[in-house]
Amino acid sequence: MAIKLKKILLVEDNPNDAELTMEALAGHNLANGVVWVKDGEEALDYLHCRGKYADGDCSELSVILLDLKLPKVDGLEVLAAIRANKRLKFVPVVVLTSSREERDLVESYRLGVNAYVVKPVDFGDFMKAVEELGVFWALINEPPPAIGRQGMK
Amino acid sequence: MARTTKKVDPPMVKKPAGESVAGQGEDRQIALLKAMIRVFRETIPCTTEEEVARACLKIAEELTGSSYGFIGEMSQEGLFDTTMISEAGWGACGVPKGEAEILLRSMPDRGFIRAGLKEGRSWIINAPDSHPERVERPEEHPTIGSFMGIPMRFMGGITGMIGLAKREGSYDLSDQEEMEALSNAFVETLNRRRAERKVEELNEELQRNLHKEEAANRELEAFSYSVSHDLRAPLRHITGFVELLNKRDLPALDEKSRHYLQVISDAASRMGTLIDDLLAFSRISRTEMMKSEVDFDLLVRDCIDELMEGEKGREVTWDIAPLPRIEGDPALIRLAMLNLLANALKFTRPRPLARIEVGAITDHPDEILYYVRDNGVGFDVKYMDKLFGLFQRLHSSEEFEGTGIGLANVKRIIERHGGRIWAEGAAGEGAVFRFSLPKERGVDLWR
Repeated sequence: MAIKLKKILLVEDNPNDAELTMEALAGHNLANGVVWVKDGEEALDYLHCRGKYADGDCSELSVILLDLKLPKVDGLEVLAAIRANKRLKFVPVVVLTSSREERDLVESYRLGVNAYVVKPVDFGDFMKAVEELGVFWALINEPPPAIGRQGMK
Repeated sequence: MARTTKKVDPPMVKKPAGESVAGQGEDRQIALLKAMIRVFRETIPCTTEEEVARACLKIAEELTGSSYGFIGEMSQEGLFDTTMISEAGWGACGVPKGEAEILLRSMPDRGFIRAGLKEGRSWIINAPDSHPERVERPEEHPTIGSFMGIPMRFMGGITGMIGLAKREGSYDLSDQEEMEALSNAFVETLNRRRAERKVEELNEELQRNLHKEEAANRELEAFSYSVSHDLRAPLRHITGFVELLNKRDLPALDEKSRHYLQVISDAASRMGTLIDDLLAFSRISRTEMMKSEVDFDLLVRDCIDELMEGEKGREVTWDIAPLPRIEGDPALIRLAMLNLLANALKFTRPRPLARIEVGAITDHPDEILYYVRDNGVGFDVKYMDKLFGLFQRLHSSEEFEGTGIGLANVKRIIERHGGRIWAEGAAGEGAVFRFSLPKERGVDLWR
């Protein structure tokens, strides 16, 4: 039986950080399953299967890697939208951000984030962190069972 | 006869105008004492020196049965400064107030007033119009039948005078003696009011300066935070992509190229440390302080254990005196001590046997003076001011590593606790870092 690897949604506005993240995930052959969106609006489009993702393959996600400082719609708003949606509310979300601000931490957990990771400055540490995140959520963790394919309410 | 009991002041024997209290010295003594009591009591609610002078003048007029009077003080240039004319005086004066005030200011330079002040004693003139030193007065000047001038003395000098006048009648020697006594009470209360005002002004200025300093500090901290925060991402990219480049193992990357890449990596890494230090510095000032009792003995031993982990194989003599407990934020104090001890360890590295002392001086009632002494390389006293500056270093990075932020952090922490920190030492002869922490209720001084 072929194991269908669920996708990883990477919400990251900085292309360099995005590239580094994908390099880190490539180590475990996870890079192919990464969908990269550049801001909060695109993230919501993908999650709703609308806009430029209208006829795309909006398959199940194993995890959403979410940056907080995003243009248009910021990370916390995206997180709130995810948790408010029946279909998506159980999808694991890991905030991956430069901010160590108390209020971001508090708000993220209040909104129901699964994990909060501050991007290490050290490249080696960064790669290791992303790799471990990817391996854990996409390979080790059992993702939530599918909850129907209706559109978002 | 109606009895009024609402007045709290001891009733004074009021002399009818023109007549001094005739008769027994005892009555006059009592009147004088009552006048003095009045001076101290009635000036308590006064908020300005003018009000104090006005109150004193009224009491003087009533005691001596005068029609009117004035109080003047000499400014440094010898001119009348706070001049107070009694209400009755203004009432009788026909000269327009502005003009009168100008005349008043030149009074010490004219006539019998100048003579009296120069001689420095009180005087009575019971027929002023026939006085040899008399000076023309404007017609509208209040009628003066007799005049008494009393100098006001303070600290061995003449600071001003009280002038009293009667429309009719005269003054006697007892009036003069009484007024001389009363004038001392006037000087006391005027000076007290003045001192109180000065203290108020100084306090206000202090508050203003404190606020300014606080505001400046907060700005610096906010700036440090945002700058270091924003710098982290590009830094990560530099190190990240250099790593990726290295991993690719291209033939084009010769020895020289790899060296260049290494330099880039190291520089970026150093930048990371600087940023982290800057962030730590800004965090120290922004976090809220937790009030607790700091067990200094335990804290210092804990720091030493931690630091010695990284100094295996070194000969270090620790001389730790008993350290008193004190109120403080344990996390911040720990950070400060770690810094100071780490410095001591660092700068004693060239010594074959390092010796570090930690102790406290407890004679002062309000504070405890802790110190850390080492026998390391010391510092040149002429750079004392730079010692606690942000990012200031007195040694090159080849000699000793570090970003120069440690002592700036320590200073900030000690100052937040309401203490002071300074250092003593000499090049090649070790250093002592001393800092004070306020005792009991030191929390009131926390910033």
